[in-house]
Amino acid sequence: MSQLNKKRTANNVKSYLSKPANLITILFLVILILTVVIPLFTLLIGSFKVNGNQEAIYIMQEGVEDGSFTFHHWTELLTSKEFDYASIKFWTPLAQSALMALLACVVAVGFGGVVAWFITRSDLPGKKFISTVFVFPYIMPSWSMAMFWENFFKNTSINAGMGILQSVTGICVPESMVYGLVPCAMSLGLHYAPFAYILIGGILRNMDANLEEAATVLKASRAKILRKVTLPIVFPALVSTVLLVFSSSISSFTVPFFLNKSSINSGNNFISISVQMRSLINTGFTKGQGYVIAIVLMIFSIAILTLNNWFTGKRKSFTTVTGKSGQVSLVKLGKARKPIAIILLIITAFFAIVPLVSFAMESLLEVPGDWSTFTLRYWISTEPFEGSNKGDTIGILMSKTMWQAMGRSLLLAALVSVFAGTFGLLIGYAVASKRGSKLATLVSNMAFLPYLIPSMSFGAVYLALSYTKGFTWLDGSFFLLFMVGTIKFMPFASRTGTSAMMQLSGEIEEAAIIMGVPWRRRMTKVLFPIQKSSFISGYLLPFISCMREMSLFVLLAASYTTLVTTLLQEYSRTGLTQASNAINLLIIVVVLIIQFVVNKLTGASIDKGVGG
Amino acid sequence: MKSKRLLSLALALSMCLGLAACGGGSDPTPAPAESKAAEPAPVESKPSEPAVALSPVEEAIQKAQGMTLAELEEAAKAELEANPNLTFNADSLTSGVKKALAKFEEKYPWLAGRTAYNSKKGSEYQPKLTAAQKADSYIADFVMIQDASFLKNAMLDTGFLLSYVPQGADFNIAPGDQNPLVGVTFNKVFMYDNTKVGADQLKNVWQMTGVDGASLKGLSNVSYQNPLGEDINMNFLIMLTSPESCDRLTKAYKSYFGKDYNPADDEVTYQNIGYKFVAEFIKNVGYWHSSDTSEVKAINTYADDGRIIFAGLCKLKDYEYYKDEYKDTPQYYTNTISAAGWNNDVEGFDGFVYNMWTLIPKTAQLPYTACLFINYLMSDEGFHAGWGGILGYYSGNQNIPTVEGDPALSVWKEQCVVEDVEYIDSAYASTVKFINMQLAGK
Amino acid sequence: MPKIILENVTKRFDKFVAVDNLNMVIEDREFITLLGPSGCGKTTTLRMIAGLETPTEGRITIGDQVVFDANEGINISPSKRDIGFLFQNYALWPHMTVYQNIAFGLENLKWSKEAIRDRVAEMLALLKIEQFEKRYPSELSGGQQQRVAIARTLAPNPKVLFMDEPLSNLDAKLRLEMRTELKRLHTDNDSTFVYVTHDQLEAMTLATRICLMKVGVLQQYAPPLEVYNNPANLFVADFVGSPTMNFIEGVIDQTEGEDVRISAGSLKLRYHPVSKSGSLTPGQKVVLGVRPEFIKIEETGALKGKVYSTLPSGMETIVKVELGDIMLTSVIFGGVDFEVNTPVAMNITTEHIALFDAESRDQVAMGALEHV
Repeated sequence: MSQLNKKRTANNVKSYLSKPANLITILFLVILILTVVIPLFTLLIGSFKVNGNQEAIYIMQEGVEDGSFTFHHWTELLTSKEFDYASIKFWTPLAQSALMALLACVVAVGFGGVVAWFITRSDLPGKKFISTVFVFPYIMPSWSMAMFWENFFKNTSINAGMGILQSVTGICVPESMVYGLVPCAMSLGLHYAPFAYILIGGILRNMDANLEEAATVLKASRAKILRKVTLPIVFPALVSTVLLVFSSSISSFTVPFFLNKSSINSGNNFISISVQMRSLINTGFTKGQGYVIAIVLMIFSIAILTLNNWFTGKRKSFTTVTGKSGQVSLVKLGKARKPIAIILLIITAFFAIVPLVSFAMESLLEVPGDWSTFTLRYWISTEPFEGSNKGDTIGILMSKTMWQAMGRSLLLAALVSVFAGTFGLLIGYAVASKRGSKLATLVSNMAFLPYLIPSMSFGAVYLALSYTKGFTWLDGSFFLLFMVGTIKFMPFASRTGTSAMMQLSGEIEEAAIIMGVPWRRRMTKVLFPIQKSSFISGYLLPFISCMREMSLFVLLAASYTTLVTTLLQEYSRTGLTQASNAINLLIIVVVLIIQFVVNKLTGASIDKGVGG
Repeated sequence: MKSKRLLSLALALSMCLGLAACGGGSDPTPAPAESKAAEPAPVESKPSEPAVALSPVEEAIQKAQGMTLAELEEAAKAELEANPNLTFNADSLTSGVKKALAKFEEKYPWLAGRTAYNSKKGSEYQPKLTAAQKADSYIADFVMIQDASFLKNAMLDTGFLLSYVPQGADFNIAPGDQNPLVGVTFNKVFMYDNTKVGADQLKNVWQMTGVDGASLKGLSNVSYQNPLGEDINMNFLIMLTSPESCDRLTKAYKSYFGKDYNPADDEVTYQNIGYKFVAEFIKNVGYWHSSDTSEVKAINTYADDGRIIFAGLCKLKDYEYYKDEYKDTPQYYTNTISAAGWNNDVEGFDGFVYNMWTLIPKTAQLPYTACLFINYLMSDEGFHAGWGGILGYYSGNQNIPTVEGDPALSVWKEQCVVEDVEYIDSAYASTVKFINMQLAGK
Repeated sequence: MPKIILENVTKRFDKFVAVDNLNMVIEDREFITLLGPSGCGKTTTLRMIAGLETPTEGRITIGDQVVFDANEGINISPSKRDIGFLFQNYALWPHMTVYQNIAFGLENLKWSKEAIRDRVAEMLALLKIEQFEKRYPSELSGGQQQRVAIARTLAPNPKVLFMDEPLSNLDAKLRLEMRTELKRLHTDNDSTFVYVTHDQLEAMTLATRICLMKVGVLQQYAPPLEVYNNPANLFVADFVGSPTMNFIEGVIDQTEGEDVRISAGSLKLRYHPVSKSGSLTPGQKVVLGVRPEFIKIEETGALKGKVYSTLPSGMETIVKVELGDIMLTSVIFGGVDFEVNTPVAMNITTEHIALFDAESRDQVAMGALEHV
C-alpha cells in the first residue's frame, strides 16, 4: 500500500512537472524565494536588530550591542515623543508623501488616461506624433522632469534665478509652484503619465467597440457611456496604474529631494518619507529606522497590490482574445477634432520635448542661461579634465570611457530586457494557464515585489552577497549587475506578460495542444505572435528602465563595470554638469533610437498595448 | 576586544619604532581612534605580547614603516611582480586620488596599467565597506573616507581599516592625525558674491540667524545643503551644540548683541546656546540647495542680494575650468567672491573642518603598494598631484604649505568648528531629533 | 476501433467535486452527448477525456491505450490521444489566415506540403468555405468562423472528435443548419463524437447516446429515446423533454396484486406496472410522471378538468388543464384553440407512465394508469 502510495506520489509529481506551466511555477517560486524573499527578509531582520556599533551607541541601552535583537527602531520611529520625533520623522512625512503620491496618481491617470482615450478610441489627427512623443518623459530619468520644472518656473521673486517662464513672459509664479509638495506631485505625475497611457491605452485598444456601441444604441449620453461603460472596463488598468505610480512616487527620492529647496518659513518646505528614509539609512546611527520606513512603504504597496488583485479577481475584466473576433470603430470628434489635437500637441510637446531642449541647452552653455558662453567643448573637446583617467575627455563624444560605458550599459540593458522580458512572459503564461491557482498567483505577486523594494536597499543586499565567501567572484562583476537588473526589472515584464496572457483565452493554446504542437512551438508560433506588441513592450520597459537606472547600480558597479549612468554621476560630481547633461541627453536619444528601430522591425513600441 | 588589542598593538608598534606615540595622550584634541589608547594602563604591558596575532597586512604595514622609501618601492614592485594578475585598487570619493594615482603610475613604470580608481560617494561606499568588513573580504588596497563616527565605530573598532604612517624627515604628521592617518582635511565655509551681498557684510555668525545685532544687520538668503541628504552638513549642525562651539557662540553673541547671552530671554527653552543657534539658523536658511558644486558654480548668477552659500571652499576650484577665459573679468572668483576665513574674518566661526582619512583594509592584497601610495599621497609631490594649487585642501603632512592666500590648516582649525567623533557619538540621538524638528518647521 | 472507457473517474478542485466517480463506455463510432445544466461537470468530463484536464482519480482508456490512470501515474498528453477538439469560442488563431489555421496542425504532424495543400482544400470544400482561404478570422462572420474551426479540427482526421457546446454562439437558424451538418459529418467521417451541450433538444436530435449528468454525478447513460421514455429518475425526466413532463404527487393506498392504488389530491388512480425496478408498498410517497403527449383530450375522457391556457404553434398545441388542484400539460397534434375555462375531458392511454419514489427520486416502475 505504502509502496503504491509512493509510486502514486512520484507519478503525480512527474505528471505535475510534465506540464510546462507547473514547471515554470515551481522554477520561479524557487528563483524568487532566493532572489526576492531573502533580500526582503534581510530588510525585515535589519529592522529588528542593531546594525553596527553606531546604532548601539544611538540606542544606549544596557546589553545592546552590534547584532542584538531590538524593537528600538520600531518604537523609536513610530512612537518617540522626544522633540516630536515620531511625528516629524515618520507620521507627517508619511501622510504628506501619501498625499503627494495620490496627487501624482491623479495627474498621471488623468493626463495619461485622457490621452490614451483620444489616441485609441477617437479619430484625433496627429495621433502618431502624439503617441510617440508622449512616452518621452518616461524614458527620461524621473529627476529630469523635476529639474525641468525648476528651470522653467523658478524666478527672481523667490531669489532662485530667472527661469524660462519668467524670461519669456515676465511672469513670476509663487514659490509653492516651484518647490514643495505640488511641484513634486506634478513632476512625478508627468513622469508617470506615459505609464498610465500605456496601461490604460492597452485595455482601450483591445476593448470591444460593441460595448460602447451597445450603449450608444440605448441612447446613453457620451458622458454616461464613459462613466458607465468605459471607466468600469478600464478600471483594473486604472488600479494597476495607481498601484505602480503610487509605489514609485512614494518611494521616489530624487524628485522630492531636488524640489525641496524653499525656506522652512515659506510653508513650501516638504520632506518626503523617502528623503527621511534615505537620511536614516545613510547614517550608521539609524539604519534600522530606515529599514522600518522601507518596510512600511512596502506594506503600503502590498496593500494596494492586494486590492488590485482583489479587484481584478472579482471582476473578470480582462478583455479576452477568444478567437472570435469583433470590430473596432472610432469615436468621431467632429468639430472639436482640430482644437483638441492642437491642445494635446502643445501640452505633449511641452513636457516631452522642451525638457530635452533644455538639456541640450545646458550642455552647450558654460554659464547657465548666458548665451555668450556658448560652447561645444562638453560634446567634442578632446582635452582631459581634472582627475581624468586615460581615455576620459571633457567632450563626452570623444571620451573612450564614455563609449565603453555606453556599450556596457546597452549590453546590460539588452541582456536584462531579454531575460526579464522572457521571465515575465513565462510567469504570465504560468499564471494565465493556471488561472486561480494559489501558487501561480503567489509567484506572480512575488515577481512584483522587487518593484517595491527601494533600489538602494535592494542593491545593498546583493552587495553583502557579493562579499560573502563563495560569492566574492560576483563583486563588481557584470554578472551581478545583470542579475540584479533582471530581478529588479522583472515586475514590468511579468505585469505585462500576465495581462497579455490573461487576455488570451485558454482555448487558444488548447487548440494547439490537441494538435500535438509542442510547447515551444505553441509559445513562439501561437501565443507570442498574437500578443506580440504587448510582449515586446514587456521587453522594452525593462530595457528603458535599465538604461536609466542609477541608484541600483551605483552600489554594485566597479571601475571596470562603469555604466553610462554611473559615469554621468561621476561627471556631475566632478563639476562637469554640462557634460552630465549631455550624457543624459545622449541616453535619451539612444533609447529613442532603439525604440524606433524596434518599432520599425516589429511594429511594437512601448506606447502600444501593455494592457491591464 | 579583538579591536582593542589590535589598536593597542598598532600603538605599541609605533612606540617601538621610536615615534612619539606617547604624545597622543597629551594631545589637546586627540584623534578618535587614539582616544581609547589614552587609557594609559594597557599600553605598557602590550609590547610583551607576541606579535603572532598580526595579519599579513598588519605585518606588511609594520615592516613598511621600518623601510626606507627605496626599500618600500622595492617591496611594492616585488609584490606586484609576484602577483601578476592583481590590480592595485584605490577607492575614494575625492577625485584628487584619481589624479594622484595617475601621476603615481607615471612615476613608477612597473605600475603601468596595474592601478584602478573607484569613485564612490560616502553613503554609497559605507555599505560596501560594512559588507566587506562583515565578510572579511577584499574590497580594495587603499581607501580614502570621511565621516569620523563611521570610521571609528565601524572600521577602526572592528580592526578593518589600518593606518600606515610614512616615516622620515619629509613627513611631519601631527601625532593625533596618525592613527587613523589623516590624508587630506577639508573645510566648508560661508561664501558669497560680494558684489551683491557686499564685500565685508559677513562679520559675525549671528548675522546668519537673520536677527539684527547692535551694529550689524542680520543676513537672509543663506543657502545650505539639506542635512538630510548630506552627512557632513548634519555633522556640522551637531557639532554646533558642543561645549566648545557654545563658547564660540557665546562670545560672538556678546559682541553681536552687545550683551551676555541669557537663556531666560528666550521664549523657547534651549539646551544650550548651540541649540538656539541651530534653531534660528535653520529658520533663516532661505534656500536648501541639493549640490554644493552646482550651487557654487551659480554663485554670481543670483539676482538682488545674492546668496550666502555654505559649501566646501574647494568648490571654488570649479572656476578653474574657465579661468583662462574669465580671468580678467569680474566673474573670476578671486575678484568677486568673499569666503569666511579665506578673505573675510567672521566672529564665532568661519565654518566646519573635517578629515578625509587614508587607510588600508585588513584584507588588502597589495599592502606594500598601498603603503607606497600613501607615502606618495602624503608627500609634497603626491599632494600636489591630487590637490595642488587649489583652495580648501590641506594635507595631513604639516610640511606641505597651503596654496597661496589660503591660511594654514592650524589657523582653520582654530577658526572653525572641528568634527569630533566623541561629541557626535555622545550627542547624536538627541541633537538629530532636535535638528529634525527644526527642519520640519516645528 | 477507439472505444473510450471511463472507470471511477473523479475530479476535485480543492474541495469542490466537479465529477464524482464516473463510469462510462463510449463505443466506437458513437455520437455521445454529455448533457446537463451548467456546472454539472460535463465540460470537465470532456476535457478529462481529451487530456486537457487531469482527473483526481480513476482511469481512462481510449481504444486499447490507457491514456490516464491515477494509480499507475499514466497521463498521456492530449496530442498523443489522436483526438480533435472543437471549442465553444472556436479558438481560431487571430494572427493566421483561414488556410494557415487549418494547415498549422498538419505542418506539425510533418505532413508533406502537397498533402497539406490537398487536405486543406478538401476541408475547405467540405465546409463550403473555399472563398475565405486567405482571410483572417476577424474578417469572417460567426458561422464562417465556426466552419473554419470545424475544418481545422477535422483536418488531421482524428478518430475521436470532442465538441464543447460548439453551436452555442450561433443564431437559432444557423444552429439548426450546423446540427444537420454535424450529424452528416459524423456518418461520413467514421469517427466517434463526444459532444457537450446543455440543450436537451440538441442532445436528443444528435446523439446516439446521451450521458446526462447532475453536479458531477452520472444520472443516466442511454440512447435519447430511452432517456426520454424511460427516465432513470425525476431529474432526468424533468430535464429531458419540452414541454416538460407532468409530475403528479401521490401516496400508495394499497396494493392489489401487481397493481397499486394511488391517491393524488382528489384523484384516485390505479397504476399497473409493466416493468418494475423497485418495490411498491402502501404508504409510500410517489410521483407519477406523464409525458404531455400521453394526455389526450377526448370527449370520452375519464378525467374532467377545465382549460387554463392554450398555446397553439401550428403543428402542435400545448394545452394546460386544471384538474382540481393539479395542473396538467397536454400536447395535441395540430392547431386547436380552446377558450379559457372550457371544460374538457382527458384520457391517459399509455404504458409509459413513470412512477418515481418521492424519497429517493428514482424511477421504480413504468406502467399504465387508470382513473378509478
